[in-house]
Amino acid sequence: MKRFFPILAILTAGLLSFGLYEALVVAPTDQMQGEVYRIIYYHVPSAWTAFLLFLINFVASIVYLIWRDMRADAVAVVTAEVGVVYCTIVLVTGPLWARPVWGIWWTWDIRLTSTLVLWLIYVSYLFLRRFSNSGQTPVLAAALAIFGALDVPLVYFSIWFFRTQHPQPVVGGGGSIDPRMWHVWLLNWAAFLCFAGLVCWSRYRLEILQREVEETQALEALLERSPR
Amino acid sequence: MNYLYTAYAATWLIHLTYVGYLVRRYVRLRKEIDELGK
Repeated sequence: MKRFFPILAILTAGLLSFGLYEALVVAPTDQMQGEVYRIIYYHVPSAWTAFLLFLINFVASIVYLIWRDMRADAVAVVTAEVGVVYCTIVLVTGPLWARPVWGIWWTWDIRLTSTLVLWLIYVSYLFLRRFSNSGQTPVLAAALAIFGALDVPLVYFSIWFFRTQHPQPVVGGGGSIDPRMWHVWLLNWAAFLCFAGLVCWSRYRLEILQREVEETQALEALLERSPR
Repeated sequence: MNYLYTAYAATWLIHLTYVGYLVRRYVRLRKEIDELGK
């Protein structure tokens, strides 16, 4: 992977640029919303990327709780962190889309509120990982991650089961979308997934290296304290 | 159109800020590794 990283990075940059061009230039204008609807090409792929990362975090947390595998714990930390980045994009682009279309920046309806709660859960997960040095931290964090993941289906299905300001899903919800829009949407999701994959891999390497350094520092401190 | 461009700019800014954060962490870690090696 390390050898191919520069090539993959160049390909991902190309895909992101192509996705941006397709979203802003090639995709047709929406009859109802005009140009502003193009936020969908960043808003929805970001949401789906975040959901996928939180799902991986959920699986890695369960694997850690069962087998105490430190690599699974590292994967959980990494996916939570990158997932929060994508969830932040959702929470920023959402109001920027809502303002011109709904006339408001925010409303406390189930879809928006559950997304904010999801973000808060994973931010608290990252705070727990960052500021707690107890040996039980990975176990507590894994338990929190499992509860956090339960919010993902609530976010996704909330617009199916509750009356909400948020529109019904176009993908998988019985709605229809112009095939050219669908193509651009998929292209941008693929680009975001490639970028998220590269970032996760880099962050995973960093996490493993960080743990090795911390272990060495702890060992060094022990050796300095021990009587000679 | 302003909302559209702001949303796109914000998305890229968040991506780049996170990549910058990772680079900073990596540089700090390399320094720690160098100090451990001394």
